[in-house]
This record gives sequence, structure tokens and C-alpha cells, in this order.
Amino acid sequence: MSSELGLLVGVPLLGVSLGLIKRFRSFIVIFISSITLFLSFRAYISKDGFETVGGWLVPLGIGLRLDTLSANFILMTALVCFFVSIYSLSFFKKSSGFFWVFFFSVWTGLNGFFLSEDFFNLYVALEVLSLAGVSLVASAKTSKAIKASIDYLFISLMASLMYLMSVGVIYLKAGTLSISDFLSKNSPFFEYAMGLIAISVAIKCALFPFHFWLVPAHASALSPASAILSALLVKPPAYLIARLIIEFNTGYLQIVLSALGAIAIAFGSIMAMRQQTIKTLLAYSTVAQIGYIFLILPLFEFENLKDDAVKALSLHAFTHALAKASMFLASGNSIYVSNSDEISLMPDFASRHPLTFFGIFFSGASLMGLPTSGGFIAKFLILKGSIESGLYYIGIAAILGGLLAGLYIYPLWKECFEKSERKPKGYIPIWMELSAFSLGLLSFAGGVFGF
Amino acid sequence: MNLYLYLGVLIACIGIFGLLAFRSLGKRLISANILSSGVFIYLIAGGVGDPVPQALVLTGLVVSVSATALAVALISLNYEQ
Repeated sequence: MSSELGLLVGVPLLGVSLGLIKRFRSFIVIFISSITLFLSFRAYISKDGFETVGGWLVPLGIGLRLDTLSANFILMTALVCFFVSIYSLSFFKKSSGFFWVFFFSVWTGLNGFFLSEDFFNLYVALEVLSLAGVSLVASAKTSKAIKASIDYLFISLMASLMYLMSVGVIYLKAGTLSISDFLSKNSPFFEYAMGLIAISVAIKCALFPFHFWLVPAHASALSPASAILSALLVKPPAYLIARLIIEFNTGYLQIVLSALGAIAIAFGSIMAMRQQTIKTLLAYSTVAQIGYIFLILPLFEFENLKDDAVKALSLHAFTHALAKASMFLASGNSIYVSNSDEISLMPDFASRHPLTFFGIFFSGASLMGLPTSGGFIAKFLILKGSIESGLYYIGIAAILGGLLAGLYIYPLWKECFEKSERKPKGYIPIWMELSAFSLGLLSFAGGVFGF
Repeated sequence: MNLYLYLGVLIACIGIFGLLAFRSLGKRLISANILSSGVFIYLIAGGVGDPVPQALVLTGLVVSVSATALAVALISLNYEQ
């Protein structure tokens, strides 16, 4: 594979400019999405690779590295983006504005982030992601969405600049920007840099005390945009901190992040139960689910548990991304029919729109962690790790999170069976239903194929 | 040169304070720019004679300009509505 890793970034980048062309738009979008999906599958199968962009060697050029963890995240991105692109072609009836530009920018930024071997390149990818994410929120054009996007922009600018500061600290102390070089030089001063990275990551991921920006931003965007934001845009910072902590133990920092993760699970789930609209419910559920990634960080300290913890992390991120995207697409279908996102306004989906209902069913089951879903195996591995390491609170938080998820998913399932007197518009484009269904099914099947 | 390192950190802290303390969108935008200037001063002061931090700051400036442009566009949209 000579330059396939570069293509993973380059092909979606092509989509950023080609997405502006109005003619043959469906063809262009499907063509670029399928090629990137194909490349991501190949990357997932090979799971190994290193190349330098343009042939410049590492201290000068940019290194791209593919390993098991990043291959998993690349495939997750590709699956979610592929189905969201199919969904959006039907969702935007007349004008999609600049949606496709931001959509492909996000895809480019995510692939670039997961492949980067270089701290500064990560900063650039992070900025691409936050600017594209902010624009995705603002493209809903309602005054609520614009207010939310301004808050989101300032918060993520602050977090990115704090990250840049830590990159500065790393370069001035270690004299390198490459991640593997940094990890091989073990100096006590790096803990400060790690602390600074951890704060910016926590803000970007909306970890518990910093969750305030996420809910208005994710809930006020258009449904396909919310799916991208909630499923994918919270993952890269968590991936970064996990990747650093796998190699570099920081003791107390892992415990603090993990405790915040546990609080996030409880808080997010309880807030999700109290919501009246689907999208705020799903946004709070994201706050809860992102907690798991931080919850398991202390397990990386134990050599014998490391492999299981990495597997649990990637499986959980994968399942959550697909399930949450499916849920948001299904919420888009419900809004399409009823013009409102109240939970009580998705009646009779079980018989009228069975594909959407099964999408909601499978993705809800994966979020709860019912057996054979990807979420189940991730929770099982977390539980096993927590018992073997003696950190019992991790297992308790994981189980409690599953139970609470059941409580906030249940109203969605229940409403699908309610009979309604109102005569809703009966028709949802088949591609919108199919993509919500496929993502839900894949997230549920992830547990079977994950091993 | 050490003085500039501390000054950079101080300016960055002022920017963070401004971002968190003000509700006015214009003031927060200026605070974000002050924060980025602080970070850039820190990087430049730390790596005198080293081209890498200077390249980082150049890229950072481009990012910061585009972020500012996006923020201005969003803020003016917000006032119109």
C-alpha cells in the first residue's frame, strides 16, 4: 500500500470542493463516499501501515500511522458518514446549502486525526473539525442554532488553543512533535503537558463539568448534522487521550478522568430521562456514553488488562457511534412526519414505518448493552477488567449506566406502539428509513463481528 | 527570553478569563484572539532561532484568522435575527 493512507484523507478532501457543484450532486456524493468506505475497509483489514506525506521523512514531514485502534475508528467514521450521506441526499429536498462542504470537511478532519502521528497535525485536524462542526450546527439557520453554534465555537476555540499550548510545552521540552518519539522519552515534566491535554480533551468531549455546550448545539442542528456531531465529533479527543494513556501512565490523572466519566454516566442518563424532545434526550445520552471512554482509562495501567481495555474502548466507541447516528437519523424521520420532535409525536411507527422502528429498536438495545450487541461485549469486558483490577466502581458505573440507558430508551420504544388519532403524513423516503435501519442493525451486529 | 515565556502564559490566562467571564459576544471574540496571541508569544519565545515553532505559529495564525472570520459571520447573523 503505497499511498493509501494519504488517500483516506485526500478523497474526502476532494469532496469538499466537488460538493459545491449542484449538477450530478447525488452521483458525486455517492461516488466519493463509496470510495472512502472501500479504502476504510481495506485499512481495517490491513490494520498496519506507516507512511510519510509527500515522501518527506518524519522530523520534517508528517507521518501517518495505522494500527488496530485507529483502523477501528476509521471504519466507524466511514460507516457512519456513508449512511448519513445516503440519508442526506433524500433529506435535503431542494437546497442543501453548504452541507456537503462541511460534511466532507468533517470526514477529512476525522480521517486525518485518526491517522496522524504528529501532535501539531492533530491540532490542525482538531481545528478543521471544530470549524466544520460549528458550521454544521449553524446551517440549521434558526436563531437557537446560531446562538448554540457561537457558544460551541468559543468553547472549542478555547480548548484548541489550550491544546496548542500543550503542544508548545511538548515541543520545547521534548524537542519533537512525533507521538511515538514523545512517548519513548519519559520525563516527569510531561505530566503537565498531559494535564493540559486532558483539560482541553475534556472540554472538547463534553466530559461532565464541561458538558454545557453540547446539548444545545447537538439538539438544534438538523438531524443528519446532529448524527455526525453526536456520533463522531466527540470521539477524536477521547481517542487522543486513550492513545496517549495506553503508552504513558499518569496515575492520578486517569483516576480523576475516570471519576468524572462515572459522574457523567449518572448525570447524563438522569438528565436524558427528564427530556421531552427526542433530540435533547439523545444529546444527554451522548454526554453519558462519552463517560464510558474516560471511565475505563485506569484499566490501562494494568499490563494484563490492557488488551481487553483497548478492545472494550474501540468496541464501545464503534457501537455508540453507529447507534447514536441511527437514533438521530430516526429522529429525523419522526420530525419529517410530524414536524416536531416531541417524543409523544412518533406514534405507531412500529406498524407504519417498521424500518425506522427497528432502527430505533436495535440501536436502543446496543446503547443499553443487551446481549450480543457491541455494547454488551464492551460492558462485559469493562466489568471483567474492573473485577480483576479491584477498581469496583468502574463495574458498578458501567452496569448502572446500562440500566439507566434502558430507562431513557424505553419511552422511545413505547411511543412507537402508541395508536394516534392524528393523521400523520404517511410517507418517508425509503433511503432515509433504510440508512437509519442499517446503522442500527450494524451497531447491534457489531458484537457478533467484533470477535 | 524567559520573561516573554511568562508574559505569553499571562496573556493566555487573561484571554481564558475573558472568554469565561463575559457574556457579550464581541468581548468574547476579542478574548479568544488575546488567548491565541498569548499562545503564539509563548511558542515564539520558547523556540528562538528554531524554525519549527515559527512554522507552527504561522499555521496557527491562519487557523485563528479563519476562526475569527467564522465567528464574526455568526455573530452578525445572530444580530440580524
